[in-house]
Amino acid sequence: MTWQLTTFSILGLVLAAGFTWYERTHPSSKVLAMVATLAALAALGRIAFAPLPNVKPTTDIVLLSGYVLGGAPGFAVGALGGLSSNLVFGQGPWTPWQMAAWGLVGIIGAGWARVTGRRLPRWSTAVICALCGLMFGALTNLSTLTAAGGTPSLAQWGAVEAAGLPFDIAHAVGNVVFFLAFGPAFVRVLQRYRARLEVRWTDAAPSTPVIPTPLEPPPA
Amino acid sequence: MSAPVLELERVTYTYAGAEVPSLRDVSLSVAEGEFVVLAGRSAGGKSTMLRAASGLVPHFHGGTFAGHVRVGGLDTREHGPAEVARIAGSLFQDPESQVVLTTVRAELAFPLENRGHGPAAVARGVEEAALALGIAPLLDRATTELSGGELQRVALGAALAGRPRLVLLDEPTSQLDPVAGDELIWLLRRLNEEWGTTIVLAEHRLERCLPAADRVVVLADGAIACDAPPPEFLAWAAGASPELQTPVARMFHGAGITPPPTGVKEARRALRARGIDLDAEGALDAGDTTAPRHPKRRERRAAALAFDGVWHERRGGATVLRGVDLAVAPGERVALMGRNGAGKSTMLRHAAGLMAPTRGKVTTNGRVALLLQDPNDYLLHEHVGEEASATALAAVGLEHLVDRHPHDLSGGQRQRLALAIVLDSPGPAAVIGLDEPTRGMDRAAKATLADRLNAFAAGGTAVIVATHDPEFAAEVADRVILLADGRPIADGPATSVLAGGWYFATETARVTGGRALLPDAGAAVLRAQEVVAP
Amino acid sequence: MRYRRRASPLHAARAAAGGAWCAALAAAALAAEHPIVLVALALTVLAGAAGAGVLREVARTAAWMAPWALVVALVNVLVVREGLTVLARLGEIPPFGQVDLTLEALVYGALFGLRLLVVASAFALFTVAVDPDDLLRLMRRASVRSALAATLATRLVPVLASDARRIEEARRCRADGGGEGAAARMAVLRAVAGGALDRALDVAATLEVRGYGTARRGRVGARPWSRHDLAFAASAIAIAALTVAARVVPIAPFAPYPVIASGGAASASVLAAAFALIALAPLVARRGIA
Ligand SMILES: Nc1ncnc2c1ncn2[C@@H]1O[C@H](COP(=O)(O)OP(=O)(O)OP(=O)(O)O)[C@@H](O)[C@H]1O
Ligand SMILES: Nc1ncnc2c1ncn2[C@@H]1O[C@H](COP(=O)(O)OP(=O)(O)OP(=O)(O)O)[C@@H](O)[C@H]1O
Ligand SMILES: [Mg+2]
Ligand SMILES: [Mg+2]
Repeated sequence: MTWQLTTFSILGLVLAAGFTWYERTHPSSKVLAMVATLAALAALGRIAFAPLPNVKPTTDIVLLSGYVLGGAPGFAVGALGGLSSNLVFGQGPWTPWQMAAWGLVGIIGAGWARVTGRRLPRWSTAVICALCGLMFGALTNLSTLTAAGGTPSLAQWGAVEAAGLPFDIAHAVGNVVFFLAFGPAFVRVLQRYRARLEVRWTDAAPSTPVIPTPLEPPPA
Repeated sequence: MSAPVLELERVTYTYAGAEVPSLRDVSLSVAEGEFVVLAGRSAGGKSTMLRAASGLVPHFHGGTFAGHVRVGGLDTREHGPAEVARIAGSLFQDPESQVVLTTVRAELAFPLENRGHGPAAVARGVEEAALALGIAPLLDRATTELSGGELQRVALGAALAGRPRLVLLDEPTSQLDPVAGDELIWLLRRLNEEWGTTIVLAEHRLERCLPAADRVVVLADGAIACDAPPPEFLAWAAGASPELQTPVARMFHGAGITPPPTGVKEARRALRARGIDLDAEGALDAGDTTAPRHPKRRERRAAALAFDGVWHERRGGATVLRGVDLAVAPGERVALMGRNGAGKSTMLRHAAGLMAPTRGKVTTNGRVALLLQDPNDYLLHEHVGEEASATALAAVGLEHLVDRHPHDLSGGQRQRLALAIVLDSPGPAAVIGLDEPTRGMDRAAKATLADRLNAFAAGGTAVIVATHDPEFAAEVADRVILLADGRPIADGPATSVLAGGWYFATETARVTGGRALLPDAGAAVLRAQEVVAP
Repeated sequence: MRYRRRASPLHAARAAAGGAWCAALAAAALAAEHPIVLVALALTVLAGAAGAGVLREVARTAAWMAPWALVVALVNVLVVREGLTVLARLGEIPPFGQVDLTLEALVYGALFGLRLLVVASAFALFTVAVDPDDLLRLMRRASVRSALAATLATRLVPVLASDARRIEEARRCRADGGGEGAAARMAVLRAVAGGALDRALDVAATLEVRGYGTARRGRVGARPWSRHDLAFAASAIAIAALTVAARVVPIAPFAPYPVIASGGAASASVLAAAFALIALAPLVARRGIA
């Protein structure tokens, strides 16, 4: 039982820290709407591919969101994507695990952008996608152990990971395929919007001289 | 006079990435309590001006901005849209993306909560906004389950909650049926008259809002072309911009009667003063001649599109179509009308095979080209030029925009692009179905479209158009079907269906007592009457 | 599986109370060791679902989880070697080595799987019977921006799904079909992603003109507690207290390894009955609900 309490406290702390970080960046309404939309898109990806066991573009979407938007928004996209997709799949003890794991994927995406200098190499990013899939699987399989009753043994942990391995491999392979098919196009779309979202208020002087305004004093 | 509640001072604005400015040196001052209608052809800059007034331009769209906009004394250079929102409530073109929360109640409470009102004030504000708009029964509904018209009202409710001094509206009636559209204008008029709320409204169908307006501002190519009270505006339009005239004004103009009337009531009064009495006694009787009838087997076999006892029940249990029987012959032009939620779009979807009837059968004799209700659904590529062929784009007047991203077009331009995509085909289609093709379109574009559709029909294509615009229906259709609750309740020649109802009658028909549907014919009637009258 | 308003005491209770009740049931299942208690909790969750009129949804989740529970139980049998009562010697199985099928591992695996099912069902009940909007409003007290993003994301999921459906339909209405095969699919997916971000821009504009940029921390009004609120909250507290007490005393202990050591069936049955009574009591108040 202590194991369950400990893990859930750690997860709680991780999620709280992530969301605090996100709040601290004071996201503008544009970033907020973008985060919400990408989270919804990630959730939708999971729902759309539900018939294929564990093949879902969600991890890729989260990774690339983090890649383009940065760490805190990337974390929020992952965590919220997990939360909102579970409104369809059902919440459970796995929800915080998934939120934390996808949040982490978003942060990895941001880190990858740092490493690659935003050039998005094709094959190495595909490998990152696969690794993220495996990491996500390894973390979320742990949620099964909450039901073990008592503190799980190392052998049980191995058992759960072994049981999950085929699903995780399917997930990783799916990630690579999705990335190769859509990744670059998706990043192009995102970057276009990112550029549009950045307010470029170049305040050009009026073409004709401004008449002094007799009507209104400037607002205090 | 009190300080203006909205003031634009020499505003010139270019969108990020655009070459030419969308507003050019615009100066405008709107006094407290005025009702201003923004008119102008598509892409004239109406939406851009409303965005500038709400602060979204330039804070939100980027670009190059010169001049000042002051809303209730706040300069948008120093105050962002959120602060401007305390004074101005805004409603933009697409209701789907203007409802942000999951229930109607939460949606109405949201702006109030953002202003930091306490729970009691929020509860009261929600109640009042809901009562004012007649959406109290919807308060606990989920926003995803609402029809287009209901969504538009909820979005308006959210814009009005908190009683802003200024309300900015961008084509709020574009998707509403004639009844709901008229009701909305009445509501705005009441707000304006009883509470002194200042209203700025962009609209293409001026006949609906001119009677309520104090002033009409015309934007052409981003500059103000006319700024005058309605009668003067109509007089100006007769000479400078005939496509902006309302139908009755055009009829009067055609008959050589001045001054042009601003509405049906005034038109009647003017005619009576001249001794012309067109009250309904000579009107066409719209009785049993328009009762829908069962198509004969022979008609059905020759038809381009035939519905045979089509029912459609949604999985939730609601019945949308109830036994529709219909045959449309090749070359026939049909207008489908009816209130919001009557089932028009559902019928067109059945025709194109996007939906399957739960009972009955739909047959067509070839390809069906269908324009769905939302033009945004057709935009697949990153440049306008990739969406359709050059000739198709030229036919809708978009040839100069091939390098633009489709999402950066104005509302009416997007509608025309979707139309170009649908009508762009190597061979002729057997049936062309258009779902509300004229929303956001100005009168000139409508006339072009009507001509094209008539040409298609002459080539043997059946044309079926769902529309809320009786004028357009009268222009294209030789047969009009009125749909109610998923069933045709009237089916007959345009002249009898559109002349014989209260709401589905054209403005000309209302003035001439049903003797004519379109301004030109109406003018002929007036001329004939005038010869008799004196 | 989505929340839909229905007439039931659980739906009538505020999200804080209803959510706490579901969570307490899940926690009780996680802490329960004795098979009798676990089975009773499983039946209680199903009875609760029936009382709230969502039995079908919850049962569907359980059915969906069942294969996974079975796999976990089986793998446990193969891997864990702590039981002493050998039922069969399965010999050498490659990745696991010498495998003996023991009674203890079998029982433990079964309990593991059952616990997984009960927890999943309790949370399924939570998903379909607790208003997410109300929950998000609670969250808003803690953090405005994250909660609003969560609200928006949940609202946008169905909107984007229907967008995708409509774009696909529109593609079929094009004369050229929007390209061939895979290219057309790609174009649609790209358009959905691009359109979604376009919508994000519109939604952001709406947030802005509704004054979100100057939003203050939400003040949640003192909503009076209804009898359903009180009943579910009290029940949740009682379930939690009983769970803790059962662990601390301990009331119905059960240790599978090395040989099954179980507390008395009588005390376990009393505990099971107590859980069921406490949990189901609030669902009896059906006045005005019919
Ligand atoms: N986001 C944008 N980026 C670049 N140009 C734009 C953008 N939105 C509109 N424009 C251009 O600005 C001009 C004015 O557009 P606006 O939307 O204000 O027109 P409108 O009068 O509202 O037209 P409609 O009646 O068709 O809605 C048009 O030429 C349009 O193509
Ligand atoms: N996705 C949906 N889910 C549930 N009901 C729907 C959905 N789409 C349409 N309906 C219902 O089906 C009915 C007919 O809708 P339809 O879109 O055909 O109406 P319409 O005549 O085209 O209306 P409008 O003039 O508003 O476009 C309406 O009552 C509507 O509420
Ligand atoms: Mg516009
Ligand atoms: Mg429709």
